[in-house]
This record gives sequence, C-alpha cells and structure tokens, in this order.
Amino acid sequence: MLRDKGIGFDRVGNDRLRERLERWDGIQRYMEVVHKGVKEDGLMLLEAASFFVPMSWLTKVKYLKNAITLFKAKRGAAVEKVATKLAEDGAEQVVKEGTTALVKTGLEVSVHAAQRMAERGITQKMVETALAKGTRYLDPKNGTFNYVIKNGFASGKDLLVGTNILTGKVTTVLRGSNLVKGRFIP
Amino acid sequence: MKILEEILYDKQNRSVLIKEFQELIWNDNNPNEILSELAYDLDFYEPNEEWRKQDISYYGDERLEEEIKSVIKKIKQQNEENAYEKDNLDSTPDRSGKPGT
Repeated sequence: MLRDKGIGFDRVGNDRLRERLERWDGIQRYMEVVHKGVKEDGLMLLEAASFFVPMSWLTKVKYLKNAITLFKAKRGAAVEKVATKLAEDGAEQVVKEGTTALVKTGLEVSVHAAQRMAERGITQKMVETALAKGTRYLDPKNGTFNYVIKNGFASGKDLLVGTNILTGKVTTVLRGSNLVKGRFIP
Repeated sequence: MKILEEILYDKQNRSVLIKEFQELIWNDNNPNEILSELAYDLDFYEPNEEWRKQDISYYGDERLEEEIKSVIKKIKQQNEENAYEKDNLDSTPDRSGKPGT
C-alpha cells in the first residue's frame, strides 16, 4: 500500500523494521508475478477447457485457436510445436464431435467419412442432397450403397457418397471425375 | 505406376501418397479404368485401427498392399497385351502384300 502511494521504506527510521518491510515487499512483488502467471495460465486453460463445453464444434475450434495464440504469446515459438500437436489432437476430437453432431441431425457419419468431408470440402448439406437425389449403386466389392450425383459440382466433377448397406451410415465421400465404376450395380 | 510403388514401400507417407494418387486420377478426364477403380477402392483404406472398426468396408495395410500389387500386375499385363496387338497390327500384310504400317 505504501509503495502504491509512492512512499519509500527509506522513511522508516528503525533499521530492523525497514529491513523486515523491504523483505516483505519483496515477497509481495514475487507473489504478484506468480499470480499474474497463474492468471494467464488460467485464461489459457479456460480457453482450452471451453473446448469441452457443449457448443457447436466450429466455435470449439475458435476457442482452441485462441488458446494456442495465448500459449504462443506467453511461452514463445519453441513450445508452439507442442501446442500445434495439441491442436491436431483437438482437430481429431472435432472430427469426432462433428460426427456426433451429425448423428444428432439424423445423418450418421463415420470418423473416416467426416475426415474426408473436411479434406474435400464436402458439406453435410451436399451429403444429404446426394442421399436424397443421387443415383444409387451397389458396390459389391466393398459392400456399400453409393449415391452419385453426376456433374454435381460446377467443375463438372461427380459427388459420390458411400454408405453402409445395413445401417445407412456414411462411410466415405468422394469428389472426382468418372466415379461410377463398371462393377457398380444400379 | 511409380506412385503406386511409392505407396507400397514408403509406409510412413502412405496416406499422403494415396491422396496424391487419387487427385491425379480424379482430376484426369479420361483415366485408365483399372487405376480409376483403384483410386476409388483406396478410399476405404483406414490406417487408424480404431476408426477402421467403425465399418466393415474399411481395411488396413495388408489389403492395401494386395490391392496395389494386383493392380500393378493388371497394368503390366494390359501393357503387354497392347504391345502385342500393336506388333501384330504392324506386321499384318495389307492387300498389296506389304506389311501394314
């Protein structure tokens, strides 16, 4: 308090008391630094922990990015690699979370398929459209029903959505040319 | 063919190489049918054992290698057949009795 008011310990006449006050002040300053660090760690932890709070998975990615930014700013680029690894693991979790989210809307998607959707820029809406309007083919080799929309993309490429014959779960999604194979049974 | 051999032997970069191969095929407007089927079939390869359990259509390294080896064999066979046909066509005499061109 005295320090905050700009009053120095040199005004204390008693040597022993001044020494004790200075020592106490040192401890206080050290504690302040520790508290500041804990607060920053807490913020970072809070950002990361919010990942597990029920909310849309896109929001979760945003929170995870913020946590990494804080982490990077505080600990420097050397630790960034660890943070990036955490983010990658988080992304994996996002894929899983995303899968759950899709399940909630009635569309069951495997992690493998969710990953392909993310990589290939295929949205849930596109998958739903393919399932509703695509031509269905049986792939006897892989045991899937494939729903194909020929020239479904502006680029002229086809969209193929593979599903499990029994469960209807989406097992893969493809975007490419000539996706209907000779062995497919309409 | 080279990229297929790389997928076989460079096990650490398998997934990346598969993606490269698929991109090559799916961006080609007139791909070889055998390679096109392989690109599609490779989409069911899942290296993660846990994720692989989610559907019966997924497979691991063992089947991946079988699929690729089988395709390499088919492509070689196809090339040999094409070369044989070409040779025969070239050596078939035309009406004047001269060998075809």
